[in-house]
Amino acid sequence: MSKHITLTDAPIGSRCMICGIDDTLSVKMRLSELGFRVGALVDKLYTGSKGSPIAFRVSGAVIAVRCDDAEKIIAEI
Amino acid sequence: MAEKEKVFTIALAGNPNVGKSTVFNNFTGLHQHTGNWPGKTVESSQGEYIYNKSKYIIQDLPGTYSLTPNSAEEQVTSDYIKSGDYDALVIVLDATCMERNIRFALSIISYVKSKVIICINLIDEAEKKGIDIDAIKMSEMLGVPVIKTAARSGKGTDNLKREIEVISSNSQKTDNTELRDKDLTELSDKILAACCTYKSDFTDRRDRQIDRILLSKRFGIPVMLLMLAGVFWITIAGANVPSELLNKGFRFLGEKLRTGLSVIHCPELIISALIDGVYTALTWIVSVMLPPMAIFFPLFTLMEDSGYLPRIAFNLDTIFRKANAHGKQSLTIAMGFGCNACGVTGCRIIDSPRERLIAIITNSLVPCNGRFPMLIAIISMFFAGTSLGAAKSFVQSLILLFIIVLSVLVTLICSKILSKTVLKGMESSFILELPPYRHPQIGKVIVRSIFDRTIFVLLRAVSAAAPAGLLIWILANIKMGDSTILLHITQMLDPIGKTLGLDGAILCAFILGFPANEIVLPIMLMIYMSGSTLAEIPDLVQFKEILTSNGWTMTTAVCMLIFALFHFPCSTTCITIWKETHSRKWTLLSFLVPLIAGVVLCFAVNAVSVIL
Repeated sequence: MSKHITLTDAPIGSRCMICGIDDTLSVKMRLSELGFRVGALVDKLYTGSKGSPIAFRVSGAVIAVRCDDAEKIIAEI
Repeated sequence: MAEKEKVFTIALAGNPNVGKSTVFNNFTGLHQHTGNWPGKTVESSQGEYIYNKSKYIIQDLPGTYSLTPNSAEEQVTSDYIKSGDYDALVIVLDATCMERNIRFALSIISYVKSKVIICINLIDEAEKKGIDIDAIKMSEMLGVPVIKTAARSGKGTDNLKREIEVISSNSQKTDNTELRDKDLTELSDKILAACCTYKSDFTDRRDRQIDRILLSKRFGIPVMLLMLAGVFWITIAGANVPSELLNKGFRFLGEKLRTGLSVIHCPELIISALIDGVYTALTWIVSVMLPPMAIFFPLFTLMEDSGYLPRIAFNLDTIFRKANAHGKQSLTIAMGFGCNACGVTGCRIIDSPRERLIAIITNSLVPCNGRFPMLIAIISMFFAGTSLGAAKSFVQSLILLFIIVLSVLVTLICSKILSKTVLKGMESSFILELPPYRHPQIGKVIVRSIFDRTIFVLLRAVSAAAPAGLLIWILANIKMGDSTILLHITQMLDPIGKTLGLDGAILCAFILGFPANEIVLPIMLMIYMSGSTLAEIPDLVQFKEILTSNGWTMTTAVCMLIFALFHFPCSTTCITIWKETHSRKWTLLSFLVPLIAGVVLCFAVNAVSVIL
């Protein structure tokens, strides 16, 4: 059964589908250009020291974002 | 009558790090610097080439993710694309990352309407990863020509040139107006489904295995420090012998030149000004700077081409964030190791103006290549002990690494202070693309980094050193009373120098070395030897004797190292800061921040040493 979590909470190595992005996310547009869009599949790859930044594979590229921003992206796992 | 040569203007646009500069270099034969990390090109470059008797002026635009600009360099690209002032627009796509690239291409095609050619680059890498792209079908679906290339090896670039010729010469415009009414995401998904086939789901397994080590919480930073130590060790160990040979060669040539000028009855005063002033300053810089740069730059470029630099930014973001700075600042610091002026220009990769300013102001806190020889000489004389050969250069590298870590720590502290005082504000987001690892083209890297970067930095230093050499010669030869102007200045600065654990000669050398840090040591030696010419550096044992006989102690050496690290930026860097910020205030602050850091630290070290 699928459940909704933030990308920060997704376990490393998991694949999730983005189902919502918080409008308060200041870099929403930039992330959308990079592939973080509703419906997109995202693989969580690594985290830096103390859990941030987080590297995701999205749209065929690896993108690192800070955990505060990943927190505002809801995904289905 | 000869037919008039036709001139066409074309532009290269695309996401960052898709190989636009490689296509540009392939076409023009120029050597625009390339590197495997997004944001490498921060300025639009122009070149030209001839194809079938027509001339093509080509613009290499900074990479952008969309036509809605997010930074200064993206604004440049967006404005240029929207202006339509070109005969053909080549959209360069990364064949290994089609999903995102195709959306970007569609957004441009729907906007620009005409003169678009799609260049799917890095097709060789895509093939290795099991990605197959049907260019003919894609061309049919997009309504524009699609050419596959591997610009690094030149594969497909002739086809691209041919297509550019057709599009540029064709007055008919490609009409893509209908695209604007469609949902681009849906369309891009359709195109991808129809034109791209992936033989394996995981096309980047090797990269992920490497990242597991290089980005690991436990090994990431230690591996980075080890790599840096390795680069320093190779640079230090490899530069000594060629440096000495160059020095001997220039000395021999200098004597021949002096004899030649005497033979043609050139006045003695002019011979002395030219040979002892200008020539000695120039050749000193070449012999001291060229060997370490010729080793350091290719090694650094290899790291850059492999895709490792953004991983450093990833590993260091948490640390930089604590200092209210941006993780990408670590990339500009890395550029600063080569040349602070380049590091300052590179700060354009940071989108937030506040964080960009912090990065600019603090960039000179890390030593550039012009300061490395000075640091290495002091370390060798006072801190590397009596070990010999490889062991000695290993100890030197470790001490140098410690100094680099110290400079980064001071950078972080200064960044924090700036962000809490004159540059208060919210921290911006950190979004960084980690590019795929690529095998650097070793031969090309060596040749290009020597001929482009090394010679470029060297020429700039030399052009600053020539007038400086003449000025120093004048100061050292014109007497006021019993002693020269240079000695008067030295005596005047001596009390300040002593408070900082230094002396007047060291401070005078740093002030006169403002045009280029490389001439600080020879000026200092010249003052100590009360000479009227820039001194030849003897071997390090002799050099140490001269320094100790002029009152140098371990404290002086420590303070000298600190002041070599932290003092005002050189003139070239100051000019670059002014050009980047268009502000006297920020330029002045960039001048003062490292100077204050140096003065405070030297004063503290000296005070502690006096108390002890």
